[in-house]
Order: sequence, then structure tokens, then C-alpha cells
Amino acid sequence: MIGKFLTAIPFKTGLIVGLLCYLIVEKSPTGSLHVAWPEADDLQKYRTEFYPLSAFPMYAEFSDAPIITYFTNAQDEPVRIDSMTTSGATASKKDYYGRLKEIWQKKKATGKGVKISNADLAIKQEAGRAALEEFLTTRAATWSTQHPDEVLRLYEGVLQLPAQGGKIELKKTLVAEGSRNSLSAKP
Amino acid sequence: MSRFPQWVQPGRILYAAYEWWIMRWLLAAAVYSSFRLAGYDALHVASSTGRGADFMTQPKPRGLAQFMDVTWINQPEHIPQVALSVGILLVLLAFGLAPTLAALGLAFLQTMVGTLENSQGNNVWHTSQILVFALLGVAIAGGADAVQAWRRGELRQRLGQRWQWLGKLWKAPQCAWQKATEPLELAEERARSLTIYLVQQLMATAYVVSGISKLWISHGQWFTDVRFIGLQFEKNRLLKYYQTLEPPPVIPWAAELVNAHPALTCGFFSVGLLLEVFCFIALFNRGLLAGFGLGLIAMHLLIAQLMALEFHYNEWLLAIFYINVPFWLMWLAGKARRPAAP
Repeated sequence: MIGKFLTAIPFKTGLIVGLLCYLIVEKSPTGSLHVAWPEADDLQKYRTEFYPLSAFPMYAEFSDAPIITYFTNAQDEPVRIDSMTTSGATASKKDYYGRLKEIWQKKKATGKGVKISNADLAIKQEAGRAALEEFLTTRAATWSTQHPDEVLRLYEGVLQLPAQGGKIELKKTLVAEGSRNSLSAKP
Repeated sequence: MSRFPQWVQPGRILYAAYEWWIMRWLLAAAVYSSFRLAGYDALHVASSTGRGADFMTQPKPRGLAQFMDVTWINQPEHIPQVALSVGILLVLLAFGLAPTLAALGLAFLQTMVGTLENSQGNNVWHTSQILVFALLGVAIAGGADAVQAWRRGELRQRLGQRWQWLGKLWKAPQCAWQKATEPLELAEERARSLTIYLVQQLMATAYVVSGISKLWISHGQWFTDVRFIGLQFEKNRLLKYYQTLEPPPVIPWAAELVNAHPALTCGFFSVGLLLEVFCFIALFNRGLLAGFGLGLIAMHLLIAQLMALEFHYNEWLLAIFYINVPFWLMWLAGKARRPAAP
């Protein structure tokens, strides 16, 4: 009966699993369960993540000013990310970008029509500091425990095509700086 | 009499025993590889390292981590036990001894690993998602087969049949490619064909969901916005560079080429999105399965070359369950039924 049911209606299992991929299932701090259908923005905010169920698509939006992040040491020399963490460079970028987007959407200080890549430096620095602190205490916790006073600089890079055409340009901004000890000491 | 034309056979393609054996072994190999990369090496249980010291907490719980502590899988005292369990489950899956139970167990352990990874911060990880979907396909089909037998009061008999079938294959391996005629052979043929269909279906689901989300998030503008994909190539190249400070293996001139030809770019990359959105069409027959499999693998290989983003498990599973080379070799040798036959 069930076998017949599964085969009689094509793609039934896929349809059910596909719909489950779009469910938001969240537990609030008070313990209550919140189940809902998402808005488009929720998909990008990972609210439909319930591994392995996921409606997050790679490359759903193609920004004309995508953002990267990278680290340098106190002498401003780039630092290999794989020397500090087993997570990839993309994870660090997403940590920063997720925070930047969250703060930027809350404040929207710069008005409508302003791109996230042109957010105020203060917003970028707030996101940068939080992302650097998180990086040092979670993804690179082992490395930062062994090097508690080693200063890292977190840079944001915005990629853009010049209006007149030609090669892609990279606009760099220092968004955070500090060591595990110095960041944990500051308020 | 089917409601569909002859070439539309979703769920009615019958698979021979040799196809399922090869698929199971290759699926087990892919699952072994994903656990090994996550630090759970079933062949080196004692030296397995788990996910590492940076994954001892779940600072931003997502999915199941909201309801349970998934860090247990990375606790040093549990790592060898998990690696050993993976090894035992892989044997049960590969040899067909208890594929449903094995697939369920492996899907659970892989979900723990994925959930822990996704609970670290503002980042998500989907590398092995397709493997869990495939394992769930095996588990759901096995579960459906068992429930069906249980409702008929034949569960014990059905479980006995599975062992009888293994014994028959051991004594007469030619059953693996000969046409099924006896009730035992026919029951096994139905069960494995449903299993393979559900695995293929859940793989298609992953692609269709991804395609629909792209269109939803971009409000349908994906097809025109894709002209900026050249900037993404450069973004990925730089991210890979800062990972190791070594030049990544990507085509260096691709970003400039794409930026110089936006219309051509839109047309070319739109084909990839259409392959994702309409992936379910692949399930209509063996020819379409192979065609979509080749198309999607080509898409993944191209993305790997242009963006240094690799989807090895997607490629493996497409090769195993969609292209299915052993069938086409047998067909060319005249030992398999027609591809269009249900």
C-alpha cells in the first residue's frame, strides 16, 4: 500500500522533503517552538537551516560589489588562514558579512538605496570587531590560546568593476585589530 | 496501463541486482570519504581526530543543535566509537546485510557532524548534504518496504527473504544481471528499484530547491544579475589565496572574459540554473538520467575551474545514481534490457 502510494504519485517524497527544506524551525530562549514559512530574506539569513534540510542556495544574488575578508599580522603581512583554523576563508568572510548585514539593517543610518559595501566605517568596525572576537574565541580558539598576545588585523575588501571598464578593483578597509587578550580586555 | 507515455517512467525503471550492488559500494566509499575528511576514519579508528579542538562547543546552535547537544560527536572519548560505528555501518550497507538500518545510522552520524559544523557562527556548510539525502532515500525506501510487509503480516517472511536473496546471489551470481522471474527475485527487484528511485528523487530535490531559492531570493532577476558573476570568480580566487597564500588552481582570465561579455555570460550560466530547476525531469527515464547527470557534472566541473568551489560528493553521486555507467556498459554488451523499458 505505502510502496504503491510512493510510486503512484511521482516525486511525492521529493516534494515533501523539498517543502521541509523551506520550514523555519526555531527554539526561542524561553523554550517555545516557532515553525513558519520563510520570507525571501530568511533564506539568506540561514533561518531555514536544519541540516541536512536547507533552502540556502549558493549564488542567489550577484552583487556588483562583493565583499571578501582577510587577516594580516601587526606588520600588515597577510596571514595564512589555514595556519589558524580548519574552517575556510569563506567561513570567516561569512561571519563578518552576516554581522555587517545584521547591524546595517538595524541601523540603516545611511538611508535607502545605499549599498552594504558602502556602509559607514563605524558599522563596518562594529561588525569587524565582533567577527574578529568570534574568530579568535571559536574557529581559531586553539591558535589564539597558544598566541594570546599576537595581534591580527581583519581587512574587508570590496571588489568592483570600474565604470569605464577594465580590470576589477579591490578597495581595502581595516575593520578590526587586536589579540585575544586585548579584545577580551576591552569593553 | 501507464498514464504516461513510454518515455516517461518515473518510479517504474527496474534495476538489476548488479546495479544496486555497485551503487551501494560506491555510495559507501563516498560516505567513508566524507567521514574520513571530518576526522572519523573507519580504517584508522584509534588515530581518528574528530573535528578538532575548535569544535568543542556549539556557540550558534542551528537545526538539531537547538534541541540537543551535538558536541558529543567531537568529544575525544567518543571519536573512536563513532569511527568504529561508521565502519560497521558501512559494511552493513555495502554488503546489503542491513542497508536500511545502516543508512539510517550513517545519516544520523553525518547529520551530527553537519549540525556541529553549522552551529559555529554566521556560516553554513552543505558539502555532504547530498550524501545524507542519498542515505535518507535508502532508509525511507527500506522503511516503506518493511511497513508494507508488516501491514500484510509478512515482516518476518520479508526479512527472511532478504537473507535468502543474499544466499542465492552467493550461490548463483548470474542472478545479478539475469531477468527476474521468481517471486523472490521480483520482490527484491521492486525493493531495490524503489530504493534507487528515492535516492535519485532526493538528489533531484536538493537541486530543485537550490534553483527555486535562487529565483525566489533574486525575485526572478537571477538571469540578468548573473552578468556580475565575474566578480564572484575574483572573490573566490582571493578567498582561496588568503586561505593558503598560494595561487589557487583557477582559470586566471575567466573573470575578465566574463566581465567583457555580459550577454553571453547570462545565456551560458542560465543553462545551469535551468538544469537545477528542472532536475526532476531526469527521473523520467535512464537516458534523461544520464543526460542530466552529465550536464550537472559538467556544471560542477566548470564551477570548480572558474571559482575553485568543489562539489565532489555531488559529482560522485550523479555519476553513481544518474549516469550509472555499469548499466550502459551492459547494455552495449547486449546483456541489459532497453534503456526505455520500465
